[in-house]
Amino acid sequence: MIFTSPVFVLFFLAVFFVTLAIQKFANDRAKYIFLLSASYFFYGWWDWRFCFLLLFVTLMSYVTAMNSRKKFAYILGVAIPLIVLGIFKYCNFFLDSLALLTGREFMSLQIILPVGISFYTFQALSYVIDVHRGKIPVERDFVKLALYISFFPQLVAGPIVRASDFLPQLNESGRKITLQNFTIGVQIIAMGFFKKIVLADHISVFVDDVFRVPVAFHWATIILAVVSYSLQIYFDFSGYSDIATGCAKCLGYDFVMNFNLPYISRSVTEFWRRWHISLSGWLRDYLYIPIGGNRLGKFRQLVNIMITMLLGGLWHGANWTFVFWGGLNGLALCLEKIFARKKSAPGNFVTFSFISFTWIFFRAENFVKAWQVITGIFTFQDGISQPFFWSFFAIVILAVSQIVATVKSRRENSSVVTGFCPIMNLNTITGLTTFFVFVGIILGLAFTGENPFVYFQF
Amino acid sequence: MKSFEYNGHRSWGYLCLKILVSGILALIILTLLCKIYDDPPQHHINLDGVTDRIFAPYRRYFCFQEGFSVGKTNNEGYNNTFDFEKGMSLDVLLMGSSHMEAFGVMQDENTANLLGEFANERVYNIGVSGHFFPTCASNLKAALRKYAPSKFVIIEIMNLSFTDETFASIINHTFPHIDGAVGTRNPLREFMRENPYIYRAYLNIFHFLPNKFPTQDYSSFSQNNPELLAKVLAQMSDTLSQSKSGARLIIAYHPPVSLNLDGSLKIESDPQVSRQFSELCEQNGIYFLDMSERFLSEYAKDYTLPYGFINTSVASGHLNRYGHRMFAEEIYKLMQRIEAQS
Repeated sequence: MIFTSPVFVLFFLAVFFVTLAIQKFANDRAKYIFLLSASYFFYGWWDWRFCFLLLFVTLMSYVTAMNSRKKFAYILGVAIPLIVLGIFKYCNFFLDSLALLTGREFMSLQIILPVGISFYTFQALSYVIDVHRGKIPVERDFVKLALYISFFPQLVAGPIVRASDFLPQLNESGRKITLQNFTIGVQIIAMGFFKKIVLADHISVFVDDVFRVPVAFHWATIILAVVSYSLQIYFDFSGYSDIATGCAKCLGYDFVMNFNLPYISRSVTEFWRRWHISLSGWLRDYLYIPIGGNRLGKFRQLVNIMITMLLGGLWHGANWTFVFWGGLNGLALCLEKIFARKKSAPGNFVTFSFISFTWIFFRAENFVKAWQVITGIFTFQDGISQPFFWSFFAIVILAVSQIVATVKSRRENSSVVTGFCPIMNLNTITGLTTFFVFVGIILGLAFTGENPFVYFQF
Repeated sequence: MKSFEYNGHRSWGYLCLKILVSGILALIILTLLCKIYDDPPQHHINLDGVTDRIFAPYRRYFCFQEGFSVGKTNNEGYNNTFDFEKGMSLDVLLMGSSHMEAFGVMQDENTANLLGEFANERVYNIGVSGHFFPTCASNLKAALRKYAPSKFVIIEIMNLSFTDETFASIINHTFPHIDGAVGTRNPLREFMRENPYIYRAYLNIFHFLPNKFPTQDYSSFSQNNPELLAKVLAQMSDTLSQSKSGARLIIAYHPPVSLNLDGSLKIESDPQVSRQFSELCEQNGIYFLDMSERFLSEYAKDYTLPYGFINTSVASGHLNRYGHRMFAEEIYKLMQRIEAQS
């Protein structure tokens, strides 16, 4: 049940109206129980067996957090989600890697990767760690904790919501479905749909063609495909985040911003402050800082950055290409740290080019394909020329949105350019008409082939 | 904050009115936008049996969904640059599917126009989407009766493998006609078709549902039943000789292609099936043109692909302008050879 499927639209409408009815005629607890059931139904739609794993992770977090003052319980609370993640996501990867290293064959396990496991295990971890650190109180209501971990808008592909952000919302009585929340929510959802099914999905056609057979394409076309992939993954994932945020908003809840115009960044450091913010923040607070951060000297800081980025790469997928991608980004962050005082920021073009280059390893199914892409570019390979229309269209949309955001930030005398979703006043005919035209354009330009979200695989 | 209550204006009724007015305004804007983005003509049932469906006459179209094209149908509703009047003499009649309908390329770039240009002859195109080989074979008699081309009838095909049932139904004249106009039996769809935006949105929504449109399976390379295929071709040959038009029949086959992982072009066709088809055509006095070699050589020369557009996947979909040019050139060469022989 992906967000862009008709079945999800029906599911969400049903959830919305039942929640509205419960809000009207029953209490908050009934609403939470219903939303929890709906979230498990949503998750079970993929495979009902996954629900038991989700329940297990939730139960363990609940129990261990209750006793997190005890070291053993805390260790257990951290270890269990990691073990679950390790078994389901990385077991075969490590066995295969070991086989490659030793030359011996190991039996691969028949394990299906449960969708969204990387996201909800990280949420469970953040809850246990925050409770242990005393940042948030223990949540004694199991329903609320379970709803925090499994809330369907963010369950399968984020954003990685912090317990400290979400659990307090469940204790606020004012968190309700309102017309204002609804009108804002649907506009954010519409923006997400536009990014996903109009831009990202159309671009994916071209990117898939080139990355399947890089040796067949002209070098300029390959460059366009690499740039296109940068746009595709941004529109795909930020589109998903927008839909998730919009759905939550319709139901009365707020998620943190997950993308903030990442390609406007003037350095890789800035890029990671703007890209997948919920993951970057998570890695910073629960990995980089605990292993020492910048507190143990310059060299250790660089080592810590590399460890964080390599593990961040591995988090994205059980493949060495992801680790390498993380390593490249880590290296760039280290270089920026080393030369921070000697030189100014590399600049927008250099940063975008570097980030696009690293995406090659993220997108290519293996190093051979990645190498074919790179050699295709640098050997000025001859081949098929494909000036793909949707790529240029997406570039224009991205450029315009960045210019608008920059102008807006300057007008507001803000030192940092911040992205925003334009929210219209749906109380007016102009606002409503504009919104309907926007929705109509999405419907008219929608890509209608099969195309799951990129981040579902993580 | 109040619950789900509408407090911005007077009442829920007022809100509904605003939604209605805004909806209508939005629809007008979207329709205007669609008029210049994607406004293909719609099919109607064709009663003369030449084709199963036809477009409205003199209908302007803008098609930017797959390729880019702007044009106008002729007086009959086919994609031609000239009108057909009763009694008009035609040199070549071109039958075929959506590839010949050619809404992905400009009118002067499609096979019929290029062929007419090369041969300096009057080439009339009655290609309509969904008119694959069985439909063209079934409609051949009516087409010859109406247009009586003096030199050639060309049937464009992209698939060579058919089931025994299909062949039997062609032989028995029971091959089912295409449900001509999409939605002619459904008043709601008929109404929706008139608005390009509503139709576009309808198609998109419909595409999200499984098993929505019947498509031809190009991936099946099963050998045809030679006896049945021979009977079909013999029947077509008889139809041609009975028509007294003097035209010769060319079956022009352009196979699907794909890219191999080493970057070379792969012809998605079984050479055995193609050979069998070709031999049986020859035995029945029908000329068979296979585009495989031309596609391969063109790709080897400068990576030109016959299918795909700058807004779709490469090497798939409909013939692009290069594909049309290659197709027209090869047909023209064959026509020249045939005329030289006779």
